This record gives sequence, structure tokens and C-alpha cells, in this order.
Amino acid sequence: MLIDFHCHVHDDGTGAQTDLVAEEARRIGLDYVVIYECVTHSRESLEIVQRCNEMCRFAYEREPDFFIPFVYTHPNLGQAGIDELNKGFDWGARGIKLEIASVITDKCVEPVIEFAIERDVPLVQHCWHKTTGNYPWETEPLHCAEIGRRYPELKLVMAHIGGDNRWGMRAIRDVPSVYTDCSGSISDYGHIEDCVAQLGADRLLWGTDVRGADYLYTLAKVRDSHLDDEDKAKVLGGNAARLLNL
Amino acid sequence: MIDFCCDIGNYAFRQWPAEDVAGTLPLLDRAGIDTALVGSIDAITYVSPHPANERLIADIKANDPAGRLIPLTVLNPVYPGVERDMEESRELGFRGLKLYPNYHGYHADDPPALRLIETATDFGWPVLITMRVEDERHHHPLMKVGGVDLNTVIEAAKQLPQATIILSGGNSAETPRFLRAIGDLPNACAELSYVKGPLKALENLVGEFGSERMLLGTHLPFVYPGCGIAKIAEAAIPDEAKQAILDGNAKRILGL
Repeated sequence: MLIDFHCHVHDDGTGAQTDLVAEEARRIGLDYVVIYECVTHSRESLEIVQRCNEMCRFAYEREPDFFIPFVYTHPNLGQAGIDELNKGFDWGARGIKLEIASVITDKCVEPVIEFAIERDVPLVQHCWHKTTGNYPWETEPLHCAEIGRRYPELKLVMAHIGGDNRWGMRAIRDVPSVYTDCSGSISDYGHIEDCVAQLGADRLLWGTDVRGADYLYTLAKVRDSHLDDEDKAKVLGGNAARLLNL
Repeated sequence: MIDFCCDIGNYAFRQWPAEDVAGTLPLLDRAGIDTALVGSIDAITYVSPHPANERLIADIKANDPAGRLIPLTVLNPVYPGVERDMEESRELGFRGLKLYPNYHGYHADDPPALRLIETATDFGWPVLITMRVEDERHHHPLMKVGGVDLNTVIEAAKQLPQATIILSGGNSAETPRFLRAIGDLPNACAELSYVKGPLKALENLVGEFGSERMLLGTHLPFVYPGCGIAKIAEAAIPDEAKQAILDGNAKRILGL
């Protein structure tokens, strides 16, 4: 099974981008695509959150058997942010995406974490460690490790192996409840093997970051790795299927 | 397949799966790459790069009897004695020039760089101008090196229209901008190692520019070579375009 755990369709309301992503994903041989929409610098805006979720719902309803939608929110919006989660799960969301509105260790994120635990759904947190400096409110891998220790029952997915994967995988390697996805442009030779060696093959999920990234490029870093076939199958879809109860 | 972006040596900031010729050739075999243009990784961070070139060419002569590696000399145009280093490089068997303006502290269109590119052109060599070595966000905290200003590469290409200037490591925004800017310059090209997106990037590039100005680049050993190959070999573009990018254009440039 081939499941992309990290895709942004960014449909403009015409359906063209949804069709483009679905067509290319099927051409490559994917079985499912996990989709979510989010905006990096917009923490004060409920309207932005609602627009992102409407965009996600639109794409999902165009491809209901192929796309698996996650709902997006800004935890700093308080109850209004939680209301968005409830609305999302009402129309079919299967998980939660957080971007850069709050650091995941912020107090305001606790209700979102508790929501994810109560529903037993994955929570994907954008995560990057940059030596050039993070954005304000941008989560980094040590934050994910802290939340994984505090909430071992949470299905937390640290996105992008934390950007700088060397730093990211070390940050979470002793926190067994935290998963990570290898989405994005980073394709350092050997990092997929290192990640499996440090975390185990059950904690790494393949993701792409399409449409910003390319399906073929991001698929090749797992396909071209030296993992054995069993571990590749887990990374490319088996782990995602288990997390999503497919 | 001919890989226009491959390097060999020790990198100061990270360990790679191969750091010499004997280790690199099996990686090329596994990826299905027949020929690679290679420069010294050590030379990127050496203050005086040429000793690293000398070590690379000795390694190639000792361990690449089939001649699969085409050596590129990495030189700093503003370092004393570079003219002699260039001449020695030709005598040693180098067949191209690779520049790292941001690591060696100059601009691609500075007069010393233009003079070195002219010399390379007189030798009949291609000149690779490297935009970046790795993602700027993940550099060593004490050595953060920004990407090269694309305008300086464009300017160098325009000032030396006969030179075979190859943009190397240009990202998804820089590569199309370079290809658009070079217009009908006869020889300028881009290798595609750093074009990692967006979705269907290759289809879009070929649609706008055709396939004659693009070259396969994997960025071995920094990156899984399959990434750079798959995005071309499995793209929804005509087979003739794939062949041109994977090896046809390289053969034309190298006179193979």
C-alpha cells in the first residue's frame, strides 16, 4: 500500500488542482493521499482557518475515496479553534494538522491535544529545526519530544523529520510514541536508513509535501534507500494504514 | 546516463556514504549512471582549493580505469596563483571548471571569475557555477553560507556568450528564471539536481523551455541519486526529452 501522509492540494475552487494532484498520485500508484491545508503566518485569523478547511473539504468531496482529510486549526483561537475541529470531524476529517500558529508546548494547545487523544486520531505538527532561526511560534523537534513524553497516548506525527533530520531523529528517538514523516525536499543520502535505525521502521511515515514538492522526487528517497522490502512497505503505507485504521 | 552534479571527497559538516572514487563507483552502478562529472568536495572548504584537486585526480587515475569520471577542477578565481592552478589542472587531465562563489568569497560576474571562465572556454571546458551545496537552513551554526545571487550568474553568462556556463544547484525558482534569462545564448544550460518541486516540475520546465538546455544532476553523495533520476525518467514527458536530459545534451556539450 502506498499512502502519502502529507499533501496540500491548494485548490482555488475550480477543482483543477484537486484533479492535478489526484491524477498524478494515481499515475504514480498511490492508494490514498492524506490532505490538509494550512497557512504559515496567520495565527490571529479564524477566517483563514475556515478558508483552509473549506478548501480541504472541497478537495475531499471531489475525491472522497482517495483523499483522507485532516482538519486544521489555530490553538491560540481558543474555543473557536476547537469548534473548527468539531466541524471538520462532522464533514469527514480523520486527523488534525497544526502549523505555525502556536508552539506545540504552548498551554493553548492542550485542548487540541486532548481532543486528538479523545478521538484517537493522529495529530500532525509542522516541525523544523533551522540554524538560521525558526519563525515565531514554529515548533521544533525538542518540543515534539516534550509533548510525546507528556502525552504518551497521543498519536503525534512530527512532520519533515524535523527539517534538519540529524537533529530531528535524535530529539525523538527515546520517545517511542512520536511518529515522524519524511515529507519535503530534504533527501540527504542515508537519512531514511538512519531514521529507521534510530526510531524503528514502525515510526516513519512517507509523505511528500505536494504540491510544493514532487511525487517522483519524494518517493525515490524511500524507494532508493537500502531498507529491506518489509521496512519500505511499512514506511510507504503500512504505518499510515495502521495509524488511520484503514 | 550522464550525471552533471556529483562530487567526491570529505565534507567538513557531515559524513557521506562514499568519500573516494572506490566508494563512489558502486553508487553510480546502483543508480545506473554511466558517467559522472566530478569535483572535489574538500576543495569547497579548503582555503586554497588546488591541493584537493590534485588528490582527486590522483584517486581517479588510480581507481577509475574505465574513465567513467570526468574530473572538474574546483578553483577560487581570486586566490593568488589561480592562473597556474588552471594550467596545471589541464595538464593533470581535468576537463571542466567548477566554481563555488559563495564559499570562496566572490561574485560569478567579478572580473577575476570572468577571466577564469574565459580561460576554461579557451580550453573547451564547461563551467559549473554552484548556487548552493546544501539547504541553507541546515548549515553548521558557525558557518552559514547563503545561496549565490542568480543575477551574477546570468550576468556572467551574458558577458561570455560563448562559454558553456551551467547553472548547478539552482532551485525551483532560480532554474526557470535562469533558463528564461539566457534566452538564445548558444551554450548556457542548467543541471536539475536542486529542482525538487513543485508537483510536475519537469513537465512544466520542458513545456516552457524544451529539453535542450537541461541536464541530469543527482548531487551525489549529498542526496539519494534516485531522486534526481526518477523525476526525469518517470516524468510525463516524451521519451526524446527524457533521453536528451539524461544523456543526450551532456554528450553534445562534452563532445562524446
